[in-house]
Amino acid sequence: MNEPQLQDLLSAFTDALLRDDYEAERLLERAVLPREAASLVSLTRRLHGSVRPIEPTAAFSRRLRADLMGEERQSLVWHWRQLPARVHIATIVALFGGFGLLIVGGVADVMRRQHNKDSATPSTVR
Amino acid sequence: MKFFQRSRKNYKTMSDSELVDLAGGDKEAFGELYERYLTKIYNYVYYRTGNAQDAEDLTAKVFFRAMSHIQHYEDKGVPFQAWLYRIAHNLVANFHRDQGRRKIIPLDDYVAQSLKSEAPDKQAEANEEQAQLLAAIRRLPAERQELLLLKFIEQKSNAEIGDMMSRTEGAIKSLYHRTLLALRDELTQTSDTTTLPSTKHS
Repeated sequence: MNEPQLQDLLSAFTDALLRDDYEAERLLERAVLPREAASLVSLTRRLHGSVRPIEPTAAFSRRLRADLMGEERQSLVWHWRQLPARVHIATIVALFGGFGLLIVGGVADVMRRQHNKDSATPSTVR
Repeated sequence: MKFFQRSRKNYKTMSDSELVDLAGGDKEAFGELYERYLTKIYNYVYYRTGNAQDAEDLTAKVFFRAMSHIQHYEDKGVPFQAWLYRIAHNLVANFHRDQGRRKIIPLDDYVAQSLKSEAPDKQAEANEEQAQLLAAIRRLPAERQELLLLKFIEQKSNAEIGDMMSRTEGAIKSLYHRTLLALRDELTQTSDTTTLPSTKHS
């Protein structure tokens, strides 16, 4: 087995091992392994057993995300800014409408009171 | 409620490059990139430093640096992930340079050492073998460590690793072979040095 063939075999074996142990063993059964390759195959198995993905702690993930996003993320203004334009328009219309209603209501109330006052004055004289 | 949900950007379905374009002014877009790559970067840094505390510190630095420089990132055929790994690589290199000056024993190694005596024989032996293997990996040149981590942790193909390391698939295959040979030699040297004193005693 020449060097490129050995390189191909090791790469194929590793890829198979990462997919499925059984597939990797089948691959080895079909190949004639030189002595040189046997120790490397064994080392690949060791690497597969030892170098495993690990998860960072949930607390660390949350803390770092919060640090990266900053305090701005917590503010009401930031959340409002994320909303689409039609929501902005609806909010402004609602605010102006509300103020309008309050003003109209207030004016109507003042006029009603004035009217009541005007109509009540002659009766007291009587 | 649907009115609000429908209008929100669906970051989960966006590609990395779309998110990168947005991330300069949209923190939620960067948040999605963070979710995608946190574990990968953490693993990379963890296996290269050997302890969780340093891995957390360096992972945080990687993401802060990425966030502050993301506007300068240009997709010139190099995937975003490769750019992120480049930042991690530089920070780990700086870390090791500083550690070389200070000579601090990694905490996890220290804990592993202390646990060895408490654990049952077989478990202790397995722990020791694993610790030796991981230590041997950390003594390899940086690019070889990267190759092993991309292969065994990220389970990337030679072609994908080639894209990330700016090499051809054939070059990665060859580098992988040489890495295994170097690692085997490292382990042989380690076992020689550890068995030598005990043979002298007996």
